[in-house]
Amino acid sequence: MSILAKFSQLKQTYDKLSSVQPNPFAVTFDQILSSTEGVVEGRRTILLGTNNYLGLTMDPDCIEQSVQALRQQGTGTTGSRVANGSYASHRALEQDLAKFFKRQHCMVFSTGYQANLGMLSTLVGRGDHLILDADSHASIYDGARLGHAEVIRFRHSDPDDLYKRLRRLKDVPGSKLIVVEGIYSMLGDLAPLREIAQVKREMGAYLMVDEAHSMGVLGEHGRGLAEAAGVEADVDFIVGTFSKSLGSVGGFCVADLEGFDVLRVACRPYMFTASLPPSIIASTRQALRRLGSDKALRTRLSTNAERLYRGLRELGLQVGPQASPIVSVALEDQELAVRFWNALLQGGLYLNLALPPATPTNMPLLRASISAAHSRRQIDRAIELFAEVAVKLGVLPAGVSAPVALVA
Amino acid sequence: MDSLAIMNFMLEIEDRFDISIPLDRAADIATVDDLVSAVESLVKQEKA
Repeated sequence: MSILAKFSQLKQTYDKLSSVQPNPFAVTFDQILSSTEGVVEGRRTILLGTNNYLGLTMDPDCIEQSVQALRQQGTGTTGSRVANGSYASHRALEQDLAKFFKRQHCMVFSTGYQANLGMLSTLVGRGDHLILDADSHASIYDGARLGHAEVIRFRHSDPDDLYKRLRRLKDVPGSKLIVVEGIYSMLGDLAPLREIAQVKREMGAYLMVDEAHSMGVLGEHGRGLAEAAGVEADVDFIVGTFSKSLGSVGGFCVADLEGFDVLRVACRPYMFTASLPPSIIASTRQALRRLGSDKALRTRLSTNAERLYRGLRELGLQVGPQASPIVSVALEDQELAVRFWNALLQGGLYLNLALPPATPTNMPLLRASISAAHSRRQIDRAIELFAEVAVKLGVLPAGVSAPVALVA
Repeated sequence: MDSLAIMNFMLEIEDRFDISIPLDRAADIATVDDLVSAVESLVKQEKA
């Protein structure tokens, strides 16, 4: 029997899905025309599934900074910060991030996935307790598995359930770390952070918020849900990524905890991997400056998000609980979702197809992520296409169409 | 049962017995007997 035999069921599902063309898990963009438009199979396609919330991947200043760093410092660092040394710009980015979040300390990781992997596997150890939201991202679950703490889950965004679980642990020794996300990546719903912070205060635990999808998106200054909910003082650790609103790649954790720096020599996903190339650091620093100084980006983003969310909801499609830069449409079954996704792509609209078990309910999702760089016309075209395809596939009754005012 | 149904089932059991079943313990449960003994030992631990 082949070593891959254990994947036979997965392979069957995958083969079935890849028999449709184009294969939803192997989309290739032949050209990127802008942060919101590309070419797929020769067609100009609106990109509505890239997590490029502020559209900064094509920002001329970010590109210029990146190019300069590339020319001056080369293509890569070829080693780990701990074994092979840091570049001055790694330190500078950490200082920029600490300052942005008004925290003492910052550690930068090579991806956002590694930031969660590293922090969760290291902060808590044997005899400690990790209390995770049940709908946590894979990187949070994987970090939990890599470490040695006891892991329990509470019902998604349910502060009462969290309270119960902390109460059961009340006299149990060991540190307790609660982990939640600012915006959940599948449905775009926000954690009830104020209530969660209150439970944390009352029961005595550490609180970590993953602001991967909310940094640069929520809060007066873009510091994420903790800022928007007014509970930054209760949040002990913020983790995040550079690969969404900051338009590059990498991850970080900021904190005020005394002695934080010891983690640099304890955290294996930080120590045993190559550090970020200087060109990435340079564009990230520039993007962070822009994010911090240009509030109009966030205003445009939320206007666009609201427009798409309202538009799809008014058509009668099943969207998530609130408008955010992630807007997902739930469909009845997988086959329908794949056909729907394909029809949108043929019509010139790319977004993500998310299938169970990656989705929080058992329903497949068409997941859109909105950018400040999308034009009104692009958002309206997306709504119009959704209406056309939904009617064609019988998801919505005949006669439903996007309001004329929207498509004009 | 798919993975979501299993998770909801475990959450129900946790509510019913007022316990939290750690993920590593849950991973070891394959039979009803395993589940019963895990729940029993956690309930005992909770009362202690």
